[in-house]
Amino acid sequence: MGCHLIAGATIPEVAKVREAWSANQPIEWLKVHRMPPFVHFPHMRHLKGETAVKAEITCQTCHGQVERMPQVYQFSSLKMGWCLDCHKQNKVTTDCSACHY
Amino acid sequence: MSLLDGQADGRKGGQGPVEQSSAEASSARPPDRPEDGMNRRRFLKVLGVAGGGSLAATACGSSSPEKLIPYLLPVEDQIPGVATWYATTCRECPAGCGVHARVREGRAVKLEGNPDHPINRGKLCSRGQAALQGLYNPDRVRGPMARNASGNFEPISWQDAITRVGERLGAAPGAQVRFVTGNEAGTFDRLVSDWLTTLGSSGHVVYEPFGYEAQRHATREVFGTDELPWYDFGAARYVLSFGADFLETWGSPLEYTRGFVASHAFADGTMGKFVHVEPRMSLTGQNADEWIAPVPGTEGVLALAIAHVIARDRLGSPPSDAARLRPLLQAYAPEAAAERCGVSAETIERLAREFAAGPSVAVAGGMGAQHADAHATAAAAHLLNYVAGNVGRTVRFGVAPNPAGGSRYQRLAELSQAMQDGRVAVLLVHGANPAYASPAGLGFASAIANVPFKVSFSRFLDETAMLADLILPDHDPLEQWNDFEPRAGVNLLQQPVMQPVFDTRQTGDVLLELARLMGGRMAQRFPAATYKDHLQNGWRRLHQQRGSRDAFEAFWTEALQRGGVWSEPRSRGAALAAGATRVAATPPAQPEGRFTLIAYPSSVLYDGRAANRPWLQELPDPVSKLGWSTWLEIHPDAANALGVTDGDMVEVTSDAGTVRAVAWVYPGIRQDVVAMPLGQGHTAFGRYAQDRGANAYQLLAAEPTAFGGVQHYAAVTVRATGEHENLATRAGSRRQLGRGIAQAVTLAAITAEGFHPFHEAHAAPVPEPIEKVLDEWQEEQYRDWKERGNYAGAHPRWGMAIDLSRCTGCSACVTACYAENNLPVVGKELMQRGREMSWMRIERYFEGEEGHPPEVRVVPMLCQQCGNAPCEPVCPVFAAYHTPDGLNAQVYNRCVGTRYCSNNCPYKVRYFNWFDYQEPSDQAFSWPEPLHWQLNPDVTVRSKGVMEKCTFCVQRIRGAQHDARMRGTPLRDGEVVTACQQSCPADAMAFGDLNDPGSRVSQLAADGRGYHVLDGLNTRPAITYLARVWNRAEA
Repeated sequence: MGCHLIAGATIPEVAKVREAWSANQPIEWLKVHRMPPFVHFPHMRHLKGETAVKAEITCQTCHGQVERMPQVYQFSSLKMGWCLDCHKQNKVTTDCSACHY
Repeated sequence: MSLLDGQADGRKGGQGPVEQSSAEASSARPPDRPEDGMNRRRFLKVLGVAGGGSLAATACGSSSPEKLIPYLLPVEDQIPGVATWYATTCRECPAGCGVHARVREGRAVKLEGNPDHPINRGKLCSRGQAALQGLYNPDRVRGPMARNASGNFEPISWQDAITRVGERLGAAPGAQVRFVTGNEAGTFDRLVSDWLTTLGSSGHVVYEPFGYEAQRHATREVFGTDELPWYDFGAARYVLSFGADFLETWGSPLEYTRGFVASHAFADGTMGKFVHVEPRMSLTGQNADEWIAPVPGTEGVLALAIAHVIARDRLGSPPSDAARLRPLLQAYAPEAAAERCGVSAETIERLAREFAAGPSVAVAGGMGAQHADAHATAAAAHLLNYVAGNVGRTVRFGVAPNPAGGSRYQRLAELSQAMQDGRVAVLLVHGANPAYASPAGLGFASAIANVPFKVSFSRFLDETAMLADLILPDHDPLEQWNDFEPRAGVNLLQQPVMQPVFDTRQTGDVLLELARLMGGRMAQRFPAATYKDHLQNGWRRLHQQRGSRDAFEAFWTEALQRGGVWSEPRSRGAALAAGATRVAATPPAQPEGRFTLIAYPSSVLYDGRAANRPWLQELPDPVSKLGWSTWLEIHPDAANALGVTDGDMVEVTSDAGTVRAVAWVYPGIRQDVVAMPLGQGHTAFGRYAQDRGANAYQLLAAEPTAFGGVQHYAAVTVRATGEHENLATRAGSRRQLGRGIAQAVTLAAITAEGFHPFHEAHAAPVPEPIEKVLDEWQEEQYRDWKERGNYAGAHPRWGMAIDLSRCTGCSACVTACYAENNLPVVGKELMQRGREMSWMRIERYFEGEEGHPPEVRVVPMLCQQCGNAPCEPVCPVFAAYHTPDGLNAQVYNRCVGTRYCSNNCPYKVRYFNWFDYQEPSDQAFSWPEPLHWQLNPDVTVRSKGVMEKCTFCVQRIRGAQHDARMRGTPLRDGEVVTACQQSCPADAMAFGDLNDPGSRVSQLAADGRGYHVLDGLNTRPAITYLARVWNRAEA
């Protein structure tokens, strides 16, 4: 716990991080972006995949302006229709078994 | 409109951006309601394992949050979402196969064979796959326990437990301490022996129920050595087995399967020949080109008669001193032998000519053939090998396989007597269950009551542990540091693949701590602080012996990564010992008016030690196709005479005891013989094993045979009880009834002039003009959609080829599929009602006329991924559809459960979730904790109301495709390996892209032996079967 003894020392949220560390407890993050268990979503393909790179997809594309969020919220609907819209736009697969298996 | 224009929705769960999508996620039925118990993520729930990445249980769409709990300190080898593989050794039987354990987030989820390992070369049998269910078994002993005043077990602390043992050991005279272990050849075995010796005891008793006593006696007699020979099946073009089940449990089954298939499978227009001699057709016997059923106990006579002919006619190339055997062989002329063993003289002459004609091997000493004269059978087989010149070629010494670890039933009998006489003060038991796996007449369980202090190191409350005063549970083999030496030159390492699930401790550590506690000589002799240190000290010596130039650390790390160190030992032949000329076959007398019962080793449950693994209970036995049961195999004529048919409960009575079993009528057995598998009939050992079936050991005589083993034959009467039960089987008709599902051809036919490719010769004849019209119509149907949307462009077509001349029917693939794809175990009652869920099944059909020895054909049956699938057009919700890459996909969240697809499937390979197998409150709950830790996180766990089937391991295909995209090179042939293919010991399956003409599967699909099952239905399956080839005169 080197940096956060100094960096952001007065911010209450950072204090929580320090407390967790000294109490030897991992922080229980609440999951904001959730997929149902029957969906297998390959995150890496959307970061570094050929089409994703060409389409210049950034974190903000799906997650919104996280750097400006005081508390992260779910920016996109994450519904399947939303996924398909981007897939169709970028002409990548809309085959069901690409994600549902 | 870019995505950023979408409504930024501040609420969780996404009440939705404004854009209207044409294809909104339309779950016709939300599959994960909040009240649903376990979903794919629940298994990650924190259960006290430090910092495992985990999520609380909920479902999508519910308002209760899921949590992401990271490691506080990231663990070195674990990246969440990425598997780490550890090399270790399987200890489910003494073969010592190498295993790669796939570990996700600190939990072992799948075992696969170690490809570099000399014994199994990357393959793993059902029992090896099911080792995970030993690790996560809900009935594991979770911590040390002691018997309290009212006689029940209650938990105590390790400190307390070890102190108690130390006290009792200190008080007891050293000579009265006894330690029973299984075959633990290696550091642990030596530690136990040393430990006892230092205590002043010589009472280390190794007990393996499958002790190969007959074979060891024979080898001593004929070759004058205590070492067992190793058999090179791969070099033998002719295999003659006298009851040795080398494809099931005998010796080193995976190694021998590999060698056998290498020389016996049809390849390049030729194949070897295999003749199996046994009164009962075991699975090994079903793979034989010829099955001979001699009078029980007379195999030795037959072997010597064959040797007689070889010597008489000077066939083959015997060693010079084979002449010494002539006098003894005189008495076994074919005509005389024929009368005694029930095999005709012509057959004997023919077998002799065939055996001596080329490289051959004779094997004997199987536990299913361990009758009173089994040592003579084994000796006769040795002599037969000798006169044919096989010793030094296909029969080799110097390799010293050690499946029994020095076990002798005689010693267990002596121990039992000593306990009875009160000469044992302290008994310790590790890795053995003699209270179950010994003849009841031995009285081990009652003798043990005379021992004042009994300690069990068992991981489970098995029969022997239930008699103990104190239980100090050992780690599971997957949780511990250890080594194992299955044969000369092979030193295998075990390493923990994860943190221990429960509060157990490695027995080696306990022994070392006891030594420290007792002080004095004990503490001096065993200075190592932990068992791992002790193990490493031994390996330092090994390191020096091998003269490696690396430092020990490098040597150790490399050995760990590889799974051990091994080198080919210098193998050699052997010369005849003086005793060889005294070999004589003296078959026991046939029981008058009674059957000869054969209690044979189960290829699924082994000697009973695997009976608490639900996958293995549910696995249909390869011969009878029954699960969760003990059956009595009985010939149809004998059954008729008794008025008994399939499913009737019968009472089997020998001089030693009585058991009840369900009758199973089997033409592959002599009329005067009945057979029963070992492994069931437990009176303890957990919910899956207890009170199930019958313990055939209760029918066996307690008196050791002349060679010091248990006699697995008994004279019995069989009586119908009038009760009946539905067979717990998934098998339907035993006959193909002309459906052409399992095809076979003789070697003569396939090598004859003018042999047509199989599918042409056997397809339903259709006049050519009509065939042309059908093909054109077919093409037109597909023409449009082949260019549309996702289907346009180049795609692979995933396909499989299964070579039936390699498949032995062992069913390893079935269990591998269970492990990989989160298949639920349904239990006996549901199996009786036909609700089994296994995606892969081994169908077994009998051919040939009634009353004749059957020809057995096996067909692994799984979803054929039909190109023209009958299940696809009938799904009202498009849950079953055809993917661009040739898979018949099943989208679980779309399925509404009409079951029309399963109705339409001609192969019946679709399975419906009638119950909520993952819901703890459901009657059919399949994963009592911690069994659910084994679940594969890459595969959805299906809930009630959803259809499922084989997916060609689509998770592996997609995973490999993602990897290929990430690294930027195309997928290579052989990169995607399905779970079944991966595990198959015979390498019978090939999987790959049928659209790639260079792939192995494409080449096999074009093979002349290739055919499709139920071809005439025009389903266009992606699986090509290669017909079985029999090396016999007529089909």
